[in-house]
Amino acid sequence: MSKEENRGQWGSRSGFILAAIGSAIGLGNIWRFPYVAASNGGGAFLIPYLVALFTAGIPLLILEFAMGHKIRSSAPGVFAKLNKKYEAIGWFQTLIAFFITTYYVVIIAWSFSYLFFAFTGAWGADPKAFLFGDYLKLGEAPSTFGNLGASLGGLNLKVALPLLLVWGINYSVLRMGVKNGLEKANKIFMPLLIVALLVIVVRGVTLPGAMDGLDYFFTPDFSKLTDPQVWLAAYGQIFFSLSICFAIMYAYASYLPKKSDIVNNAFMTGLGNCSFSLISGIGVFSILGFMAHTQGVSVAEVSTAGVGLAFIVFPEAINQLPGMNGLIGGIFFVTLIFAGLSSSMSIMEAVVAAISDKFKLTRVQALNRFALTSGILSLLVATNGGLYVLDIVDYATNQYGIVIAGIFELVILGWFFNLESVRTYVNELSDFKVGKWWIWAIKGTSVLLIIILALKIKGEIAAPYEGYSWTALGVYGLGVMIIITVGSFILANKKGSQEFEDKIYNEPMNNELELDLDLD
Amino acid sequence: MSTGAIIVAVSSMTLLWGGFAVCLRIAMRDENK
Repeated sequence: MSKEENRGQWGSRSGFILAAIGSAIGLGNIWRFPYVAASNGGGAFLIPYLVALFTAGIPLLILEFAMGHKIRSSAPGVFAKLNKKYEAIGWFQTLIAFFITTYYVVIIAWSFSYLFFAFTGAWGADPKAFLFGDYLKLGEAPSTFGNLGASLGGLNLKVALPLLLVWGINYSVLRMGVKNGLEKANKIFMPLLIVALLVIVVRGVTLPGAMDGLDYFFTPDFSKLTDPQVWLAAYGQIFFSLSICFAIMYAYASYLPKKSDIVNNAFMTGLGNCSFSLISGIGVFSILGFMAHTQGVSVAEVSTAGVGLAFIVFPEAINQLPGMNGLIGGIFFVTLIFAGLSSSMSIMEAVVAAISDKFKLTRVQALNRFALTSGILSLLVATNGGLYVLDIVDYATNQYGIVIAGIFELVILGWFFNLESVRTYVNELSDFKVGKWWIWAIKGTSVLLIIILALKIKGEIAAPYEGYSWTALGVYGLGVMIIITVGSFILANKKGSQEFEDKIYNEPMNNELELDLDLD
Repeated sequence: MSTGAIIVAVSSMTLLWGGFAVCLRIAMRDENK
């Protein structure tokens, strides 16, 4: 068995593409994109969205696929190969993935509970009261150091039990490896996800009021195109939905065989992800249109995103369906489960691959260590105050962590690395070639991310996120970011295995990708 | 649905799904690549 096969390798091109699209398609495609689009110009938003896809999303996918494929290592190895001093950036991305795992699995656990509730009608006539009261048993919001513990409360078994199931599924898939685990799981999950979504769309568009919802979603307000915030929202949506800049795509691409396409695979991943988002928008807004029609209110009044959309508004809409309420509700939560699982597996793989690569642990040894620590931490999110922890950690890791990671990645690779050598490399391998525009897309995106971060910090000073106290934001938000930063340097300075030292440290790249294709 | 909404819906779906289909067709020439 070759070194590559020993490390893990995709069995087919379709397996890799499905896994990459599965990673990119997550909960955000269903519960974030439709709302962001509708509230930023409706159909007109699709123009900056597509521009962002082709000028930032796909170029970044090409870059990460190329680096992962060439260096054949996870994020820490990729950055260490460029320069040992940069390894901490790879660990920074990996630790972001680690912390995202801790709460992402909890949302999938809620979806499993709601799949069950859809058939029993457990949420009753007031899904909001049911979610925060009966199900989450949400306690007081954390406000001071004194009430942090009281705010968390105890472990909520209604969440912890399905959480165990979610960990079980992810663990089993990852334990089976790249070809027999990740690839096979995605080949099952992705078609089922598409079918489930299509059922929701067909049911949605045949409901009374659906066209009002679709009108709200698609009617273009072209005046919004002159608003810079709309363009930033479009770039933000693309950036956060493609699983880029937090270690995943490096790990996935490192399992590609030597003779693999890069450019076309990146195009398919980006286009597949956005096509799915568009269909999700049709499903979501047709059902919101029906709900607005039933309640005699405007679509804007029922339009929302995130947890509120999935676990409050949708259950309300399901209550009002003329028939097959349980079945349609169940299918909706099945889409969330499949979209969530295909992403959670990839987030976990990014961490497992990084540990395994550097410390020369077997996949199972690395997985056991990761699952134990991340699993215990995820229990913190399964407490009565878990929603607050989830909300703040999600905000910190996404809005700050991934953006900071992206800035470091794109500044180093875009401005200090010879991107022309990467372009030559991918063009030699791929079905079709990218022009010099690709280099400027990478450089330009680095500037854009700096603007996004600066505006975010400015907004934060004016009004803290969601009105949380500075104590809560400091402990769960800034605290996690400090742990990630310090942890990155500790892990980067820890001695790696001899194989890692030989392959990565002792053979650093000379600022460019060598065109050593060796395709035999 | 308004005419504007229909035009946007059809053109965006065509561009995204059509683009994906074209890439897929090219990729199918070499599944092992």
